[in-house]
Amino acid sequence: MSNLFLKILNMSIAAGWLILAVVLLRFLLKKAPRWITVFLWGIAALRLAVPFSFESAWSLIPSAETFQAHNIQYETPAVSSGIPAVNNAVNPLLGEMFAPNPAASVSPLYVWTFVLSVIWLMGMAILLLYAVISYWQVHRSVSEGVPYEGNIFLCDQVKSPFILGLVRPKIYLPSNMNAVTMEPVIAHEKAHLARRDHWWKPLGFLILTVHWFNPLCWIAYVLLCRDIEMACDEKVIRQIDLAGKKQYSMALLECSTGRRPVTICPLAFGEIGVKERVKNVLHYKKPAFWIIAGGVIACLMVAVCFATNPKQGVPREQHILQARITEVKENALLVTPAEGSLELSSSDLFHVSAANLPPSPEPQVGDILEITYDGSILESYPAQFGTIYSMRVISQADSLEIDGLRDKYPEYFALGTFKGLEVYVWQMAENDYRFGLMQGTNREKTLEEKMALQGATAEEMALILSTFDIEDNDIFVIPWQNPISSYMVTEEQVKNPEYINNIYAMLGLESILVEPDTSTAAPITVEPDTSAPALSDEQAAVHQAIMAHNKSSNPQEYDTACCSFIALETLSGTPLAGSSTHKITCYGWALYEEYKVTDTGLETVGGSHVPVALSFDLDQGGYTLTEYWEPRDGSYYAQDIREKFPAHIAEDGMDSQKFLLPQKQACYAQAAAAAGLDTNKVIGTLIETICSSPALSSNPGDYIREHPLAYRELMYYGQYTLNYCFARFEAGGETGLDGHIMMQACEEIASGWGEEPLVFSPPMNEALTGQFWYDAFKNNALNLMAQYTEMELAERCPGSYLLLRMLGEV
Amino acid sequence: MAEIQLGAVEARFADIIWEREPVTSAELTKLAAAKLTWKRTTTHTVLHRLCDKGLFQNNNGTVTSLISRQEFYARHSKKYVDETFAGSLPAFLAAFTREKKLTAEEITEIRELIDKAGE
Repeated sequence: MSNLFLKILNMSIAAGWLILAVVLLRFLLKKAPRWITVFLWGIAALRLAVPFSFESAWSLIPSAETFQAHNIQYETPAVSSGIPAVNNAVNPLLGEMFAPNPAASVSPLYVWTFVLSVIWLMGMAILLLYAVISYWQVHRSVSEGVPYEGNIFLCDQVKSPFILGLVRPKIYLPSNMNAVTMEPVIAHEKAHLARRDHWWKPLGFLILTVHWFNPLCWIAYVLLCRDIEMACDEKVIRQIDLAGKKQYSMALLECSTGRRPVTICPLAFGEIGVKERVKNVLHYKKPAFWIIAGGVIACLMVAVCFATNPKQGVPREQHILQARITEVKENALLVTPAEGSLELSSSDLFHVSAANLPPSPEPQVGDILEITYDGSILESYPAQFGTIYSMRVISQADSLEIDGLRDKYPEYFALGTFKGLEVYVWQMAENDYRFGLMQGTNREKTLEEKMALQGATAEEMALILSTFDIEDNDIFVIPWQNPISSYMVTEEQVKNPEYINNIYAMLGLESILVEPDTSTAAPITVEPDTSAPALSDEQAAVHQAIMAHNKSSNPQEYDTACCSFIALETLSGTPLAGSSTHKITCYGWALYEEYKVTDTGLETVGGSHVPVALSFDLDQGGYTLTEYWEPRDGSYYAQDIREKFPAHIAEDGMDSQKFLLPQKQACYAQAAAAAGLDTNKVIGTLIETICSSPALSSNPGDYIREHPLAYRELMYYGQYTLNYCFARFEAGGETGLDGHIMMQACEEIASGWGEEPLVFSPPMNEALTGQFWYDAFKNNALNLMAQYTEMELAERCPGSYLLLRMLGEV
Repeated sequence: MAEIQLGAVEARFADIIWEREPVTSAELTKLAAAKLTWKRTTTHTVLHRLCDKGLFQNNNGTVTSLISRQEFYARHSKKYVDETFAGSLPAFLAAFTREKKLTAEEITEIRELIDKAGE
C-alpha cells in the first residue's frame, strides 16, 4: 500500500508540471474557445488517473519518479526529482534525518511513508464520504420535483438550476423561476448535457479525491469547472443575437443573487464571478480560425511536452564502474570506486543494496564488484547510484595469491576435471610433503610423468584445488616414492589410513577411505594357505552380499554354499558434508556355488557366475549394501556391462573364462573347509577314476581325455590337489600313471596361478615320470628360495612356494 | 397567524387536495403519482409537512383542509419563496451558476453592463 501511495505521489508530481503548464497556457489562450482549455484539463486528468505514460524525448518533465520505492525502503533515503538543486538540497537532509538504523530492518523513512499513506487513504475516504452524503441529500430533495417538460423538472427546494444523474440525467429548475429566465437557463443546461459535463465534473472530482494532497490539483479542478461553464456559455451564445445575450446575462444575474449567505462549499473560493461571465457573454465574438488553430497546436505541444515521461529507457546511459567492497552489511554493501574512475570524484564511498547481487558467491570485504548503472549519482553520504542495472563480483579477495600461483604452476591450471584430478604426493623429508597435479585418466601415470611434476607445497596445492569446480571425491590422492627423494616412505606407512587422511587434511579435502588402486585387473592370488583366507571387512561384506543375493529357493537341496569374488575395480567416494558415510562400489566377478557333499567330493547343484557391481554405504556401523547390480540377459548383457563398469575394466567384465578357475578353486576351498571334507580322499578317488580307463593306452593324455570331469575337479581343488600330489611325490616312487596324472595336474594348477612352467631337461635314458618331474620341481623351488624373498616367491611362483611351505623351508 | 409559505410545487400539491377534498391518503397518493410523478413516500412526506404547517389535516387516512384555498391566497402572498434545503449544491454537479452573495453594488454594476451592451 505504501508503494501505491508512492506511485500516486509520483504521478501527482509529474502531473503537477502539466497543470502548471496548462495554467500558463490558459492565460495565454484567453481569446481562444474555452473547449480547448477544457481539453487540456482532460489531458491533465489522464495524467493523474493513468499510472503509465509514454516516453518521449521532448518531455519537459524533470522526473517521472521522484520517490523511488527502493530508495526509501532499503537505502539511505533520497529523492530523484530530476532537479539537481532540489536533490542536493533535500538528500543530505534526508540522509541525516533518516539514516537507516542497521539494527532495524526497515529505514525510518519507510515507516514515515507508511504513516503518510494511511493519512492519504483517510483523506480520500473523507472526501468520498462527503461526495456520497451530499449527493444523497440532493437526491432526496429532488424527489419532490415535478415534471415540467421532457427531462426538465421543477423543484421547490432548488435555488439554482442543475443536472442530476449519470445515465438518465434530469435538469432541475427552481420552481419560482420566471419564464424569461427559463429559456437561457434551459439552453445552458442542455449544452452541459450535450458536452457530457455531467460526467466530466464528477470524474474530475473523483481524481481530486485521490490526489487531494496536491494543491495544484485543487487549482486544476476549480479552473476546470470555470472553463466548463464558460464553454457552455459559448456554446449557447454562438447562436443568439444581442437581445438574446442580454437575456442570458439577466438570467445569470438572477440566478446568482442568493438571499442567504452561501454555505461552506469546499470549492466556493475563487469561483468565477458573475461579472466576468456576463462580460464574456456580452462581448463574445466568434474567434478567428487561426486562433482556434493556434490553440489546438498549443494543446498538442503541451500534451507532448508534459503528458509524456522523460526518456529513461534501458539503457538510457549505461555506466560501468569497478568498486572494491569495504564493508559488508546485512542487506547492503559499502564500496569504494576503483582508482581512476569518474565516480570517485563524486564520492569515495557508495552505499549499494545487496539485493542486486546474486547470492553466491558471498561478497567479502576486498572483493571487486562490477556495477552497471544509469549514470546518475544521488548526493547523499554515503552516495548512491540512481538506478543499478546489474552487479557482479568479478574478482575475489584472495585472487591475488591465486594469480601468483597461476604464474608459478601454469600447467596445474590447464587441467580438465572430466575424469577427476589426481594429486600425487611425495615426501622429501619427514615433514616435507610435495604435491603435483594431473588430470584424471584411466591409466596409471608413468614414472617419467610423475617425476616431471613440479612440487608444490600443501598450501599452494590446496589453493590450486580450490579454483577447480570439482567434488572432493573426484580428487584422488596418490602417494608415491619419488626416486630423487632420499626420504623413503614404506608401503605400510602409505597404506595406513591415517597417513592418507593427514594428506587430505593438508589439502583441505574431506578425508576418504582409500582403496588400493586395482586398475590393472590382476586376479586375486589364491592364498596358498590351507586355512580359509582372512577376509577384510570389505571382502566380508561383499561375500555376505553375494551369498544373501543368491541364496537359493531350495535350501534343502544343497549342503553348503560358497562364493568367490574377484574385484576388477573398487571405487570409493568421499562422504558428503555432514556425514561420515563413504560410498563404495566394487566391480568384479561373482561366483556362487551350491554343493552337495558326497563321498566322492563336492557335487555342484546350483550357482551362477556373473559380473556384478556392488555398492555399499560405509560408516561407523560397517558396510551396508545399497545396490546389487547384475547385467541383463541376452543382447543387453554386453551393453549393460559397458554402461555400468568403468571403461578400463569393461572388457574383463565380459571375460568369464579368465577368472573362472581361480574362483572355482576359492569356492571349493571354502566348501571343503566348511564341510570338513577329507580332500585327500576325494582327490585320491579322482585320480583313481582317471587312471581307471581307458586302460589300454599308455598315453596319460588319453586318460585325462577320458575323464574330463574328474580332471577338472582336480583343477578345482587347486591347493588341495597340489598338497596331495606333493605329499605323494615326497613320499617317492610315483613313477606310474597316477604319477603322470599328478604331474600334469600340478603343472596346470601352478601355471594357472601364474607360475612359469618348469624348464628342465628330461631324463636321458628313461621315460619321463612324474617323480622325475617332481624332483626337478623341488630342486628348482629350493633354488628359487635363494633368489627371491618370500613375498616374491609367493607372488611369482605360488606353486613352488606352496611346496616350500609344505616342506617347511619357509 | 404566521405566514405560511408554499413553494410552487407544494402549491400544486395543495391544489389537488383542495380540488378533491375530502380525499383518502391512498387516493391522494395515486393522484400525486399521476399528476406529479411522485412516489408514495414523497406524497406522505409533503402531506405531513403541510399538515404541520396547519394547512391540512389527516384524520384516519382522510385528508381535509383546515384553511380553504381562497382564504389561503387571500392571506398569504403569492410570492413563492424558496425553501432552504440542507446543504448546498455539491461541487460536482453541473449547474448554471453558483450561489454567491452579490452586493447591491455589484448587482447594479452588472445590470448596467447588460443594459449598456451593444451601444
